[in-house]
Amino acid sequence: MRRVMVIDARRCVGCEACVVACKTENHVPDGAYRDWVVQETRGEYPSLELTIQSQRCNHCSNAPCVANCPTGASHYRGDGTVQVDRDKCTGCRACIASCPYGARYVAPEGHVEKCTLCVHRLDRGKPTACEEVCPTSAIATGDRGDRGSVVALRLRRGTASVVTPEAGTEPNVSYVR
Amino acid sequence: MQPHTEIDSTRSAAIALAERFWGWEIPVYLFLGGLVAGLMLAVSAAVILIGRDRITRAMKLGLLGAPVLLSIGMGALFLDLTYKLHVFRFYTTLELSAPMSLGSWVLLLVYPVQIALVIAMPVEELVPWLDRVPAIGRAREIAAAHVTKLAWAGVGLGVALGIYTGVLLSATVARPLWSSGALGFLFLASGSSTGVAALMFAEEDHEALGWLGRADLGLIAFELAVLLLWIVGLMTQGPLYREAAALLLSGPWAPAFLGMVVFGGLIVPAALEGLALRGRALHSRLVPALVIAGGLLLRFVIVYAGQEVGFVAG
Repeated sequence: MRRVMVIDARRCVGCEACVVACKTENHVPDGAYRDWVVQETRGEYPSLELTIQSQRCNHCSNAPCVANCPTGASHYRGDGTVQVDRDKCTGCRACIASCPYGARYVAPEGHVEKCTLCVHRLDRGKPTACEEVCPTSAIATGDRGDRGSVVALRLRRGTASVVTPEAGTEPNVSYVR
Repeated sequence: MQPHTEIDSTRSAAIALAERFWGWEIPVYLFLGGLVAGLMLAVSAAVILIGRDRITRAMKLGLLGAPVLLSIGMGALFLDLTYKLHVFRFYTTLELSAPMSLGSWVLLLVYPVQIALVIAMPVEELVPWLDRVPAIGRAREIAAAHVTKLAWAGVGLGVALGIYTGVLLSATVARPLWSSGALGFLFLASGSSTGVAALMFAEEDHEALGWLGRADLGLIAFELAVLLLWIVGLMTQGPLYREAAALLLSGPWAPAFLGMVVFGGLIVPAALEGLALRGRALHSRLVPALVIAGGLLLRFVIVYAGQEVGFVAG
């Protein structure tokens, strides 16, 4: 299984329900975010283009946070997602220095946290918290190898892009248009 | 022309308020690690090149001070950890892709070699203390019999430790300023020159001061060349890398970098040392003091400025 998230950027309205759901589900502390919404406006009036993206840890296949973690706390799970084992984390913040997306933060307890892709929910057959509350079904999580899944369908039909491809991290969160 | 772009994000306010993820502890650790690497390299090289009999008191003091300075550096690293109780986790695994893990293990190898070098060539005041314990006396004999091998180990570990302090930063993909293989060699050159400068600070033997001065001049020239290579490398990459380099060349860090690190910490001491070696000026402790201060400031500038430019826009 190769878990990926595919977000249909045409559907996203920037309501930030995903942000609130994540904060509630994962008890994210004040001032920290596991997901966030970026609105980018390009061009000159009246010729403007607005892009809205719900962003998070990209669960990269070539994750510098995993490569640079000195204790193995940041690791790949069997499903391809990137997780942090808080029992191994020393709070050295090498992973924070290594993440091009600024997806990590230090929890009040001292260890580093980030989006887990809600694997605690996915393992029970439930969708991620952000996906569950998304009012336009912009967010979809699933197995990339399953040709019948929503994510595979979206990747086949749409034009997919990732955040900061120049970082060379091979993100597993894609945006289709 | 780039189209006008405006970015707004849920976390814009949090990003604006965010503090540096690495504070003073990391540059202090990198500086002391480099200094210790330089001390080991310089004294070990002296043992190999001129023989243990010509090792001066200042060099023996340098050997003695190295593990102390390294411990202070590791203390700074420990203070930096936000989950201090888990510090032992560094030594429950070896992560080959993580410079910080490799460095942790290199540090464990550095200590015994340093201690063996100290007991093989102790300062006079230490000898009666060492001889009080028979086991140390036997260890001294063994270390003294293998001092050249220990010196080669000191060279190898000094190079590894010096390069590691730079690779720790350059291995992070996310910070354009640090994203250069030159950083390992820059920190090795800087660590070596500060190590030699520390020896010059304590050196009273005029002949040895001459060797050390010439070595430091060479190391400063090498450091300037690597600095130039690093900056040119950044300037010829993408716009984000140029933005990172601009922080040092024309941005808020320019006075500290160009004025105090490059000019005050490298060019001025090199010129003064050059004059002293030609007999036109006296050897002054100002030269090593400037080199050491410049080396410390170099770490602060690179670690702090590096955190100011990243890929994240929102």
